[in-house]
Amino acid sequence: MLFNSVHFLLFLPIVVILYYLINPKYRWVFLLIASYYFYMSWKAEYALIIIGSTIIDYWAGLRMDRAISQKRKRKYLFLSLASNLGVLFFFKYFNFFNDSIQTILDQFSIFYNKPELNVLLPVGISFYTFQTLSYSIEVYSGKQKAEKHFGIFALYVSFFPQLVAGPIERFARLGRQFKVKQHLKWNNIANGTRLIIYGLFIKMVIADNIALYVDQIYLKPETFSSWSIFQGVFLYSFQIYADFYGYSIIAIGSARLLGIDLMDNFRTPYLSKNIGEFWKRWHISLSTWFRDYLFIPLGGSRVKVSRLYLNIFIVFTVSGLWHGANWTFVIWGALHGLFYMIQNISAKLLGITQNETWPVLNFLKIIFNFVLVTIAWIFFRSESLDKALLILKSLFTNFNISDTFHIPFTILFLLIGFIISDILLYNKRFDSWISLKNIYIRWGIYFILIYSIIALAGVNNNPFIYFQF
Amino acid sequence: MEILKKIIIRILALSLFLCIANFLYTNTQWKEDTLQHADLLDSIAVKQNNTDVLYLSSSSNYFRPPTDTTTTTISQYLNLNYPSLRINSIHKGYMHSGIFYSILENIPVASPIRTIIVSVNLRSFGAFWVYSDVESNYSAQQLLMQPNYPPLLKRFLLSLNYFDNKSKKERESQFLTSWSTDTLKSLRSDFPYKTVIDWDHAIAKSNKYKNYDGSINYKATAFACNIVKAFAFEINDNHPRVKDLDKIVELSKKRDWNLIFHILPEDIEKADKMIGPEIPFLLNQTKNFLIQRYSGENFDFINNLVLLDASHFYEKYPTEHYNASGKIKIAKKLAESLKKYHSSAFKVYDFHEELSTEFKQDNDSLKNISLNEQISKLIPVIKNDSVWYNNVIKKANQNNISIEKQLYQEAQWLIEKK
Repeated sequence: MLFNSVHFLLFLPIVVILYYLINPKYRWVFLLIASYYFYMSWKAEYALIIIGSTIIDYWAGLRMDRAISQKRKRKYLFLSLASNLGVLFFFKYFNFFNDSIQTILDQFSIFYNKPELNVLLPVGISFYTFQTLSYSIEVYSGKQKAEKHFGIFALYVSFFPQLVAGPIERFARLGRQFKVKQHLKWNNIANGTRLIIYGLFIKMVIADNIALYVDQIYLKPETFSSWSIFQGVFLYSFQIYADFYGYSIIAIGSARLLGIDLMDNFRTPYLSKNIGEFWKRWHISLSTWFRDYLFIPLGGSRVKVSRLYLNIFIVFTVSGLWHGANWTFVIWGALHGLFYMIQNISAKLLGITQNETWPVLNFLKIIFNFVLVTIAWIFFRSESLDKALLILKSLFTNFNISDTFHIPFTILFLLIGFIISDILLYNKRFDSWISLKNIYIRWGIYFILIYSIIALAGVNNNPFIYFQF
Repeated sequence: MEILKKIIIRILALSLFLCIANFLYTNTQWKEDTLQHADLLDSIAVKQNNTDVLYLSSSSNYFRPPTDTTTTTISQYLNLNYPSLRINSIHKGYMHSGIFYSILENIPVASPIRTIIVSVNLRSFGAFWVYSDVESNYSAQQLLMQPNYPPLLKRFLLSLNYFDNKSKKERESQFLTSWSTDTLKSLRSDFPYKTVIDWDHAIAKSNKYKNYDGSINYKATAFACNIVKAFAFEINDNHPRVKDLDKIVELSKKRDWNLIFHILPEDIEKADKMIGPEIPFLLNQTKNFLIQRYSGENFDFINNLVLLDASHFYEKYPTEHYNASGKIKIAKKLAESLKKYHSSAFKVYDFHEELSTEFKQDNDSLKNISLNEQISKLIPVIKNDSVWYNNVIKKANQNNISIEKQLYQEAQWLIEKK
C-alpha cells in the first residue's frame, strides 16, 4: 500500500476514526492489526518475516534483561543480530554476494557454481530489521529495559506509518508513546493533515514530475548532450530528496493524526556546508543509527586521526551497502566517506572553522557540498558501475551531441518553488511554519498544494525510491 | 464536538474548493492532459460528429507491409462501396474490445453515428495480449475516458495510479504464469503438451525446422513458437474480452446502434503447416464459442477467420497485418454485411483498379529499371517469408539447381505473372 494511493487515502481516515472511538486500553491491538493489514497488502506471506523477527527479538530482549552475566547477554544479542542480519542477508545480499565471488574467481579462471535465489525483496526489510536491532543493542547495553508487553513491542516493530521506509525509531522514543492514552486533539489532526498534504505535494508533484525527465537521461545517457545530462543529474538530486522527504513527512503526519510523534528525518540537507553536516540533516534516523551502533563501537572520535578516518570510511561504506545490494551503492557510500575526509582535512589545513559566519564563504561551501553530493548521487541512481561511469564521462564529452531534451517551464517553476520553500523552512517543519501564518495565507497555500496534487502530479508507476531498500 | 465542528467546516470548504477547481481544470488543463494521456478521447471528439459508420480496430486496419505502396485502410476500402456514407475509423496498435467499449461509451448521444463495426482479433484473447505492457497505458486512457466522473477526479485518480498500472516485468510475470498454469483441456487427450510453456519449449528443442543444408532454421523455429504463444488459448464466459464484447452488445442495444462484429482473418494455413492441426482447432473453437454466444443477438457476426490465404499476410511474428488485396477482400465481405443497414447507400465498386493500381504503382516505380533489378528487389521479399523460402529451397533441391538460381526463377515468374 503506497502512501500515494487510493487505498491508503481510504485506509488512513478509517484507522484514525476507529482509533479514537476504540477503548484506549485496546488501541494497541487495533493499531497492530491495522499495521499488519498495511504491510500484508503488498505480499501477505512476508508478514511472517516480521512476526518471526518480532518473536525472536522480544524473547531475546527478555532473556538479556534476566541474564546474570555479560556472557549470557551476549549470547542473546548474538541471536538477535544473527536472525535479523541473517534475514537481511538472505533476502537482500545473497545474490550480490555470490555474483561478487564469481566475479573475483573469474579473474583467476576458477569455476564457481553460483547458487541463484529468486525471491522478492520484502518491502522495508532494511528498515524494520535495523529498528529491532537498535532495541536489542539498547537492551544489551542496559540503556533500555526489555519490554514485557508483547503487543506493544510488536507494534513498535510494525507501526505502519514508519514500517517500510522509516524514520527508524528507538524503542525509548516510540514504544513509550503507545502506552500513553492519546486524546483527540485538534492540533494533532490539523498538523497531521498539513504534513500529509505537504508530503503528497512534494512526492507527487515535485518528485514524480522530475522522475519522468531523469529516467530519460539515465536510460540512454550516450544519446544526450552534456548539458542535458547535467540537467538530469541535477534534477535527480531533487527527485530523491523530494521523494524521500515527502514520504517521511507523510509518515510523520499519519502518526501525528494518531497522536504519535515520529522523529524528523530531514532538515534542509542541501543547505549543508559539508558532508558531516549533510548527514546530520539527511535521513537523520539512519545516520544516528550508524553513529550509535557502528561508529561509536568502532571507537568513535576518541581514537587516533588515522583510525578516526578509517572508522568514518567504514561507516559510510556500510551505509552505502545498506541502501542496496550493488557496488554502485557501496561506491556512493565510500564517496561520501572520501569527501568527508577531504573536507575535514582541507578545512583544518585552511583554518576554516565549522562556525564560519562569512556569508559568501558559507554560500560557496553550500554550493560546493551540493555538487559533491550530486556527483555521488550519480552512482546511487545508476543501475551499474558502467552506467555511472558512462554518465560521468558523457557529462564532459558529449558537447557535440544535440538533442531535444528540455525541462518544461512548469517543472522548473515547481522546482524553484520547492527550493525556495526548503530555504524558508530552514530548521523548521512545515506544520509549525504554516500554523503561524494568517488564515488567508494558510488557506491559500493549502489550496495551491491540494490543486497541484490533484491536477499536476506526475503520472507514472513511481513507488517511493526508498521502498526498494 | 468542537473538533468535529472544525472538521466539518473544513470538509465543506474543501468540497466547495474542489467544485471550483474542477471547473477551472476542465476549462484549462484537461484538454492538454487528455492529449497526453488519453489521445483516444481526442479521436472521438474529432470523428464522432462527422461519422455515420464507425470502424474500430487495432493495427490490422492500417498496417502497410513494405511490399505495398498503397496506404488505404480496410475502412477506406469499405467506404468505396458506400461513397455517400461517412465511414471513419478509430484504430491504434494493440487496441481490443475493452478499449472499444470505452470509446463507445464516450460517443455523445447527439452523434450521427448509426453503425459500429468492431474488428474481433482472436489473438487479443491470448495471454500475451491480455497482459501486454501497453495495457498500463490503455488502462490509464480508460480511466480518463470514464464518462461519469468529473475531470478533476479522473486526473487525481490517474496520479494515484488508480488503474491497472503494472511494470513490464509484472506483465511478463502475468503472461508467463498464464502460459504455465492454464491447461489446454480441449485438445485431444493424447496430445503431449497441456500448457503453452510445455508446447513452446518442445518446439524450441525439436530442431524440426531446418535450412536446405540441414542446419536448424532458428527464424522458423522462433516463428513456430510465437504461433503457439499467440494462438494456443481457450476462452469461456469469464474471459475479459468476452465480457467486453457483451458490454458492447448491451451498449449498442441501449444506443440503438447497428452492430457488426467481424472476426479478423488469421494465417491458419501457416499455423497448420508449421505446427499441426491443433492451432487451427483452438482458433476455430474460439470462433465457434463467439458465434454461438452471439447467435441469438440482433446483429451481424461475420466470420472472416479463414477468408485469406498465406499470401495475404505480412508477418515477422503472427499478426493480422494484411497486404492490399487482403484488406480489399475483408472490405468486400464487410460491404455485403453493411447492406443490411445501409442498402440504399451501397454502390458496386470494381476493386480491380485498386489492385492493378497497387501493382502498377509497384511497376511504375520499377518501369525504368531492368528486369534483373526488379528481380533483385523481390528476392529479399521471398527470403523474408520463411515458409516461401523453404519451399524455394525444396524446389532447388528437386530441380538440382542452386538456391540463388531458384530464387531468381521464382522472382522472375512473379514479375512476369503480374
